[in-house]
Amino acid sequence: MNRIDPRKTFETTLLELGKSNENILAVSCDSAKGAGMSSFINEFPDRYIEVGISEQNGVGICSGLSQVDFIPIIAVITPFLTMRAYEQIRTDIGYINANVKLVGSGGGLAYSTLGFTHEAIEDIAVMRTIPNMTILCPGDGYEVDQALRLAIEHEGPVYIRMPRHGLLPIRAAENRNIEIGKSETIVEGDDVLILATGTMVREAVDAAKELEASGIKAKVESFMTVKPIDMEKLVDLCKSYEHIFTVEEHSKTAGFGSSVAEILISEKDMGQVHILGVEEGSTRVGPYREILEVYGLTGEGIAKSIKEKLK
Amino acid sequence: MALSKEKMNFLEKKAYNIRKHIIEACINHGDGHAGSSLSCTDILAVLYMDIMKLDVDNPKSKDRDYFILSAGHKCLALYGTLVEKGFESASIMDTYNQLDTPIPGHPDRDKFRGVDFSTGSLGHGLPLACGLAKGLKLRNQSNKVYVLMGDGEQGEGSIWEAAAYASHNKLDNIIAFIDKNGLQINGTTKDVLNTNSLKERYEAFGWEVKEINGHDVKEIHETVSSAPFTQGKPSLIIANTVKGKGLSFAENNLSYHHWDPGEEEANIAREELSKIGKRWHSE
Repeated sequence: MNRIDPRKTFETTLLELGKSNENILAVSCDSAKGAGMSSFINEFPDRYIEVGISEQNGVGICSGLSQVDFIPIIAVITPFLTMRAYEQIRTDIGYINANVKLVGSGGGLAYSTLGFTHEAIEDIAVMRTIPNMTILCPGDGYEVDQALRLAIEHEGPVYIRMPRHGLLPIRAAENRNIEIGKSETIVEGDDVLILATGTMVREAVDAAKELEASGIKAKVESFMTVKPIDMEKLVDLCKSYEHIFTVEEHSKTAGFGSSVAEILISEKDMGQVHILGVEEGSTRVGPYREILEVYGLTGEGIAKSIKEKLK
Repeated sequence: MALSKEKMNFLEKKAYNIRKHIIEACINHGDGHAGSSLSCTDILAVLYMDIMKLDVDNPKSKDRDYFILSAGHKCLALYGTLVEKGFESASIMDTYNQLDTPIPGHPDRDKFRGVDFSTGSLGHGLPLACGLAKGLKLRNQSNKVYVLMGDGEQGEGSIWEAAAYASHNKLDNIIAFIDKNGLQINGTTKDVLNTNSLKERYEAFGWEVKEINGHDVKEIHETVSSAPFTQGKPSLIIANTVKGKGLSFAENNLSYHHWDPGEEEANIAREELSKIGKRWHSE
């Protein structure tokens, strides 16, 4: 099956949204083209705000623009946006609930050949602490399209963690209906529960197939919205499983798995949570798929970790 | 247009009233950034009382001019100014440092009507001003964006990112002030991180810069009224000021960045205020 280039999907959807909503602005820190904003910029040159390589200023400018009812979308390579400009996001976007959309270009290990300066395995952790922030982690072409549409519809700050490498569909788009704050069941199974977000959902689906071959039936639940997390569904699901595996292309510290654990720890009769992800401080470099393998974040790797735990 | 004697007297009286709010808040409710607030008082008085387009009944009016207190710790001056302008009654100053006060130690726009941005972390104001100013230009609105920074604050890199953006984008609707009182927490700005070449630096960044006495309401008024100084360029007014202005023992004194007055200082402060205030008592 063909992999979809997430940036192309982003580009098409952004252009379409830009045509119907003239308040949308593309804000760039010398980063718009790499983020898939070129078509929008060519169509609406007056709605292209080039800030140059200055992310703190870029985020402040977005906050200012939002005060005169524009909807700025700023897209920058993830660490430079979420970490360099963290305090501006916190103070000038989050606390004042500014209607700004932040796009982290290349979430997780997307820049695996460029090293840890460009990889982003801490972005969910830091964005999770920002008040009023919605965090969306799309995992296939359908979700990239939907995440951008939902972000624009939503009044308030949204962080979209954009994948960079070709994506296989999680499931057939016809049967899907995504909402902010709602998880989605992708695969049914009674033996073990896999909670996954973003690019790891499709890997979890592959893992479920592998596990099935070994007689283990896994349920895969997708969380495109990491914040606000679908708490009701989460608690409900986790009552029925002895072992719960969370999977994320992110540090095991303070990310999606941690947010699941934070909720379950206050609930009675929950299964045991195992967090699959990247060890903090990891600096292995190489081709994307190979790096995912190194960290056990492919379908095969996830299935292997689960089988070992269940032994 | 030259400032009439009556107008000058009015502005000086407003500045005096604002100083009184600052000083009384510290005396009655303890610790506040008195020195920093007193140095920018005259600038705020001129801006709010006679320059900015504002609607007291509708603080979020789209026609208003914007003000960003980038150096948010100078907020006692802003609160006093908003009270004098009629945004809130003077009794609000009595909540200072009390539980759930609408006037915290740094301004929160969700707590006090008339505050445009929640500030306090230095270096945020100029980027915000750039976004507003660019947005207003895109909307073809002629509103102005005023922003007040400290001189110590000029150490923040984000200011220089924004300074470059403002001139590159010809944001002549930005009128920035630097309240150059020459002191910061750890010493003089000259010793901590020299700011003596600010004029040259901003000019090199493409700004039009004027330097004034930041306590002379006439000079403040004339200068700010003539902005933008050059079409297509952002304007900067470097206001040379005295930290603690109006409190003799605090003037140019490093120890009064914060002020938590004891009885003796409170008495001196009130005496000095009443001496200055006599000027208007006969009115």
